[in-house]
Formats: sequence, C-alpha cells, structure tokens
Amino acid sequence: MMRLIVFSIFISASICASSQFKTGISLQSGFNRIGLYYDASALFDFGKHQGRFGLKYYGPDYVFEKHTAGLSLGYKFIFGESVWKFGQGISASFFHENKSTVSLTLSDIQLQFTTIRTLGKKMEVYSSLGLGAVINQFTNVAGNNDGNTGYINYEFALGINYIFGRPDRP
Amino acid sequence: MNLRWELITYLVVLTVLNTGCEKEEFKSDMLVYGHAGTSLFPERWIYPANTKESVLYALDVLDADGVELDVQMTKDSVLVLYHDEYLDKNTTLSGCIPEYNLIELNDLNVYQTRFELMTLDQALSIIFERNRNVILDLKPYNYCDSVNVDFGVFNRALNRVLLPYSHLEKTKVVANALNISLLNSLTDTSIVKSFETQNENYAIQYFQSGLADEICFDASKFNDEISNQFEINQIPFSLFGVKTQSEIKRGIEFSPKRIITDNISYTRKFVY
Repeated sequence: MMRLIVFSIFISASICASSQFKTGISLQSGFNRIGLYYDASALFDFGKHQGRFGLKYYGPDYVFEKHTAGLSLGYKFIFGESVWKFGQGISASFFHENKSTVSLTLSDIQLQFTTIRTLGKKMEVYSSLGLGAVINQFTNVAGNNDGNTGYINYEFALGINYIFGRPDRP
Repeated sequence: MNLRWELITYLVVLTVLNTGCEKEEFKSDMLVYGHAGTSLFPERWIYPANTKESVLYALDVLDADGVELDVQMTKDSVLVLYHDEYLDKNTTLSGCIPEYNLIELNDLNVYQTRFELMTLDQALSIIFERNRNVILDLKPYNYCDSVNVDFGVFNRALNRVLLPYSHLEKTKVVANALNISLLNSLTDTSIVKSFETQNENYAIQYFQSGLADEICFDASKFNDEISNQFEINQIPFSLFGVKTQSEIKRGIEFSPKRIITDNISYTRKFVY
C-alpha cells in the first residue's frame, strides 16, 4: 500500500509536469520533539504559492516504537524574487501506530518559516523553522481508557526541492 | 521531465521506507518503566518529571509497563513525588520537602512550570486504574537537616497510601531504596523490596539474607562480571540510567527484569 502511494505521487508529478503549473519533488529531513524524520513529497508550484503532499517517516525514538510513515501536507507562500527567497506557511502530518496495548493517532500541525536558496532553475535548497502542536489521540486496546493529549512542538529542517519543467537555461 | 531523476528519487524513497516497518523484537519478559514518569531529564521532557501529566503520557501514549517515581515525605507525613534534594533550584520555594506541610506545597510549580506537585496517593490511583506497575524510589534523607526522616513514620505513611489496594495490586509495587534500614522498616509484605547499590557484594549479601527481594543497579556500572554473579545467585535486578540509544541497547543485553528508561518508545522497540 505504501509503495502504491509513493508510486502514485510520482505518477501524478509526471502528469502535472506538462501542465501550466510546475511540479516537483521535495526531500526534507528535520528534528523535532517526536524525533528525527524524513519527508518525501510531491511539490506543486504556482509561482508564489507552493503546495506539497507526500510521506513523512519517523524511526523508533521518542514517540514511535516502530518504523512509522504517515501522510504529510503543506502550503507555503513565497516572498522575494532573487536567489534568496523566504516562505511562510503551514504543514500538517498524521500518523498511526499500534503499540502493545495502545493505539495511537498523532497529528502534528505547524507554522513554518523557510529560507530558500535557488540553485539554478530547477533546484532549491532550504532550511525551515517550525512551531506548532502535537495532538495525540490514544485508545487502550482493552477499551477501558481513551482520550487525547497535546503539547507544543518545534523543529528545524533542511530540504531540497527539484522542480520539473523549468528550463535549465533561460 | 528527466526520467533518470524520477527513477533515482523513487528508489531513494523506497529504500528509506524499506528500512522496515516491522518491530524489532528481542526480549519478551522485561518490564519497561519510564524514569520519573516519562523522563527525568529536561531535554527528554514532554512534561516535567514526577508530575501527573508525565505519568499519564508515559502510560497512555507511550505504552510503558510502568513508571518509576521519586517519593519524599512532607513534615505532616504525606508522601509526595519530587526528585531533587532541594526545592531552591527548580521551584519558587527554598529548603527541602520534609520541612513543609502538604498544604504549603499545594501551589508549588515544580520545575518553574505550571505543573503541580503530585502525591503518591494520586499517582497510585492513576497507575492501578490502568493495571500498570510502579517503582517507588524512596528518598528518606532530609538534606537540609542532614538526617533521615523517621523510618517508622515513613512506613506508616506508605501503608496508609497502599491500604485501599488488594494484594494483587500491591505486588505491582516495587519499593526501591539506597538505605537497607528503610527497606527493613517496611512492613507491607505484598510489595517488592528493591535495594539500590553500586556494589555487587552488598547486593548479593542483602539478597541472600532476605533483606531485599531485588537489586537496582546503575546501568553504566553494570558489566558482564556482575551479570554473571547475579545469574549464579539468581538475583532479579533492575537497571536504571539508560537514556541514549546505545545505553538502552547495552542495558537490554543484560536482560534485567525491569529497565528504567528515559526513552520509553525506543526501549519498547526491543521489548514486546
């Protein structure tokens, strides 16, 4: 199932590459109060607006005890026209893990502040600071205890965007 | 679009995902305890140590088998959860817990946060509601007066807190102390008595003489030689002081009966 989702992302990226807006891929890694993560997303570039969706992966660490992948979504508004640009946006990711006796659904919603450096026409690298909240919804498998809890989350991330369809040279 | 780039990226993503979605399971008979709730150390906190929120997070979200809690006694003989020797550094009060009545500590914002001091009574209610385990790290020493609190009074305070619970529930309680005389003063026979030491000879001596049911040892001081001695003498033991991933892996290799960890989820990666 997971491989199908990943493959679909890249198929859609391929199809959209020929349409009027630009598509691309975004690879990102960051660290926050959940742990170290890797994110691979399809990118939709409308000039000053940039959206993405894909998969985010955490290894076993502060929250997850298994290798866990979840849905990742984001939107960013881009300021500036030079090789240095700035972005402000929002991101959300959702995960589910069945532990031994607890079923956990984790939602992570953040405001993101990004500094982008353009490398040629197709490539961008960026660093990002995020501030938001983690909301955990849990159910005990015995069914006698469920609820939710939340806390502030903050993160630092580095990433790279590759935009399809932009010409290499003017 | 460059097909080569697309394929390379697709392969990279698949490689990351194929690091495995399976849980790595190694030990099945070990109990995982959160250190002071979720963690004693601020860099690992979601909530401050020994608070209600920290205990709930460890049990309800991180699925710990139990929690280790630091127990001190107030001037009016109420057992409360607090780790440090002094209040000065981490609260708005100064001095030591045994110098205050509970009512004076009610508004105590532990670790300079909005979170409040929890009594042992409240903690046990949360833990037994969830059918989990607890290690009580008993701290009877009053650092302000350089003297131990009265062990008899401490014992009665503990018995009062345990009174509502059944024998079966009380078997989930491990009373751990550095002071063997305090352990010897505890009269409830349902609880497990654990002696904390860095000296394997004391450990063997007190276990064999029946003064301690188990031993609690610092994982950084534990080694193969001590492990062999404990195995020969059939001494059940707990390990504490495991925080980093390498410390956790090393600690688990010794197959302790209980492990007190500052990273519950990573520890549970190896335990099912």
